[in-house]
Amino acid sequence: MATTSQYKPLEDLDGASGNEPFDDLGDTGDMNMDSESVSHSHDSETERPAVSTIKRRSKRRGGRFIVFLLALLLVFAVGALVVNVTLEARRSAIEANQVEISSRLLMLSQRLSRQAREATLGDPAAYPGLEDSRDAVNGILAALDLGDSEIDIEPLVGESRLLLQAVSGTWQSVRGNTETILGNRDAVLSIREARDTVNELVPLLLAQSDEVVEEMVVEQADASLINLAGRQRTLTQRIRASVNEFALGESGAEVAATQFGRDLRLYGRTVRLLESRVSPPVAAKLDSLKATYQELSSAIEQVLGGVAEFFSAQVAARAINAESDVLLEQSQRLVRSISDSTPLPLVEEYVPANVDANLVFKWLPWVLGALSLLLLYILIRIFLGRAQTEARESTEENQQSQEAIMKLLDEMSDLADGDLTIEAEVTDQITGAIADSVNFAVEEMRNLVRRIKSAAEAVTMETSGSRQTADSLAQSADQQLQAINTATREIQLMAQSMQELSSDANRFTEVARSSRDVAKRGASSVRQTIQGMNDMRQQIQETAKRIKRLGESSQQINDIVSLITDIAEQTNVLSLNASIQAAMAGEAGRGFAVVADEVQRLADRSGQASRQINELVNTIQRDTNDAVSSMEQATREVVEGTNLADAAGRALVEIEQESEQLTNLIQETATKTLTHSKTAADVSNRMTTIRKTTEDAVQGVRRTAQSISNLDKVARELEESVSGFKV
Amino acid sequence: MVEQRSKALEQTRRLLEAQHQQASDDDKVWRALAIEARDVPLVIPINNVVELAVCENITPIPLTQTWIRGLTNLRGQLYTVIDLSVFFGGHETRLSRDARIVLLSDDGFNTCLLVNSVLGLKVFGEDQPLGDVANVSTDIKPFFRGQIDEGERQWAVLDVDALITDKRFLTPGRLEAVPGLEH
Repeated sequence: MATTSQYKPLEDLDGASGNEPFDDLGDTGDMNMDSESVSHSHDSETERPAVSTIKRRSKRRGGRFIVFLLALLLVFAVGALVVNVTLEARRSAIEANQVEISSRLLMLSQRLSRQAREATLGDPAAYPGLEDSRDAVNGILAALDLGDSEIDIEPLVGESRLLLQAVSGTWQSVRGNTETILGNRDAVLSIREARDTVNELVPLLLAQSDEVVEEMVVEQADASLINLAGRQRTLTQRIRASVNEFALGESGAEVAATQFGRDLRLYGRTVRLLESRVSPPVAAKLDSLKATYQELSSAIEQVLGGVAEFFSAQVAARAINAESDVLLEQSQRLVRSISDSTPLPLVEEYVPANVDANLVFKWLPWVLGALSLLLLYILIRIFLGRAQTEARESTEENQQSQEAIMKLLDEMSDLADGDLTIEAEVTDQITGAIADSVNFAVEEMRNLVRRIKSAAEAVTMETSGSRQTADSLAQSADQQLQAINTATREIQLMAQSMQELSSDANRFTEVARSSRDVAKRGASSVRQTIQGMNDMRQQIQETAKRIKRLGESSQQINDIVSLITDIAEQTNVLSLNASIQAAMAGEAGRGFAVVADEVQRLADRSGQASRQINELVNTIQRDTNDAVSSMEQATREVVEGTNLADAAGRALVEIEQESEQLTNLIQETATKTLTHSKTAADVSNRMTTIRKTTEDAVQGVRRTAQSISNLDKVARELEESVSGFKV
Repeated sequence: MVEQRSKALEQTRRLLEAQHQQASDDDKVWRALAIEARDVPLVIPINNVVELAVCENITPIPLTQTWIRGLTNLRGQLYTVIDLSVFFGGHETRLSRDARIVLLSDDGFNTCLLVNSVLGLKVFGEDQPLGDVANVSTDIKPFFRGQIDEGERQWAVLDVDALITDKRFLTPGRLEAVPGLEH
């Protein structure tokens, strides 16, 4: 992938530089083609070939071929230069990668030695590191041998490849030892673990031994036994020292192994001896000591079980240590060899076998650069020469054009005097087309002047008509203005009348209100009157009743009086009879006769009184009846009066309502009149505005009339000015 | 009240005493009952009159003279009522409130006179002259004693005896009214 990306710019560059010269040449070609087409189109109109242009074209075609060749060479040289530089860059990149990866071998050889040492001492962390280092070295060597596209490594060649083979040989031995160490990993770690156990148990064992000794001293045991017990302490310490020495794996390891084996067996025997001799309390202490001893013993058994593997690992580690220096030295040589010179395999194929590839790569860029500069110089010289030739040619052309233009100007001088009948001569020179165009323009101008003349005549006619129209329009506008003035005055008068009417209507409203109030008061008076009449009627009826009762009473009086009359008559009869009797009695009845006379007189008088009373009562009754009938008459009249008053009251209420309506109507009229008054004022204002507008319009019409007469004048002037042209 | 009454009694006693004194002084007087029949003022001497009565139920008697009004019952005694006006050739007396019947002392005739009215008792002196009766028709003149002129009024004095003994008066029946009775 990296290779293709390195080569791609080269292709692009090649393509670009290949097209550029053609573009340049194409431009010049196009320029020529343009002038040719112009002249050709001119030919089609004027039918004259441009001979000088063809000559120039053939001359340019010879120079253009040379230029094309030179440009091609220049492009080739620049392309080769670019390819060379690219390949050089690629080569140095490959070399850098190889140097980097091979220098890693130096570090790895040292690290392997250290890691092997740590692993044999029982460091578990060292083992993965050892494996990694081994795999790394394997990977590097494989990459350098066979190449690796992933990390962009090319296989080594030449001298470096020989040195790599030497390194690989040494690595085979180192890798075997490394595998040994890795294979004995369990045994080594087990020994390390057992040593740690021993180091833990020894202090406990020492303490327990001390306790046993103290107990025996307290119980005053046998002195020899106490000595034996004391020796146990020494044995314990020696076992620890031996085990630790063994675990270091130094030269004294084998001796230490035999030593602590022997010591352990002695310790065991001593414990068993003490067990059989001491008192029970000491034996109890001894039991716990014995348990600890069993643990120690099993740990040491563990150590002794892995001794063979441990030793082989130790040997391998020492071998690695020795070989790592060789590996380091070989690796250093390899790195130096790679960085000194690594010929690029790609280029090597194109370089002849008898030429030194390095020499070619060193000088080729310089040669190509010089060639490019030379070609560039030549090209510039060619282009400068061509520019001088073209300047000369254009000067000649200018001279010819000036002559042609002067001729054309001569022909056109009559045009300035207003002669539109001229016709310029059409030649094959540059002015030919201009003359043709001028002819066309003069023709168009002729037509234009003719049209202007006719138009000016038409305008003159139209303006005279328009002026008449405008004059009559101004007159009408004046009349309209007068009419508007009259209307405005009348409307102002109308607005005044409206305002007066409005104030009158307000006064009417007041009057109508007061009349309504009067009607109200009248209605209430009538109601009071009706009430009074009703009261009166009731009183009259009451009085009539009483008078009737009076009449009845007088009737009773009459009855009583008639009774009295009867009594008086009877009394009269009786008195007469008494007188008769007295007279018959003669002298004896004289006194009685007097009494009878007297009685008779009384009876007469009472009868007379009764008759008078009767007459009086009759008179009373008559009067009473008259009174009753007159009262009935009065009552009827009162009722009639009440009805009349009621009607009057209703009429007054109607009057009140009518007054109310009248008030409202007048109010509405007042409001409307006010509105009309305002409207009239508005209309008046608007009429004023209209009058002003109309005045403006009149002035505008006058101005228009003026403008039209001006226009007429201008049109006549235009006619005169156009008449100067000769058509 | 008591005083008024005692005063009235005192007046009455004085009056009576005065009357009695006058009567004893003037012996030669006669009394008569003044009546009115056929609008003529008459006096009947008091000794010819038994009683006065109010005219009540009068039952007509058929087939009698027109001046006999009928019979009337007075305290169980039947009396023949004579209409004096009709008898004197006048109109029939109207039975008004003032109409009275005067019972005459006629020794068993039981006759009474119907009059328009009783005017009262009149006292005349013995020496008061009796004039000729005026204003009456000749056929009834025999029934009057004479006439007393009192100035303002002329009283015809009725002669009861002449009346009750008159032939006409004694023939009350009306035979001509019954066809065939004359023969």
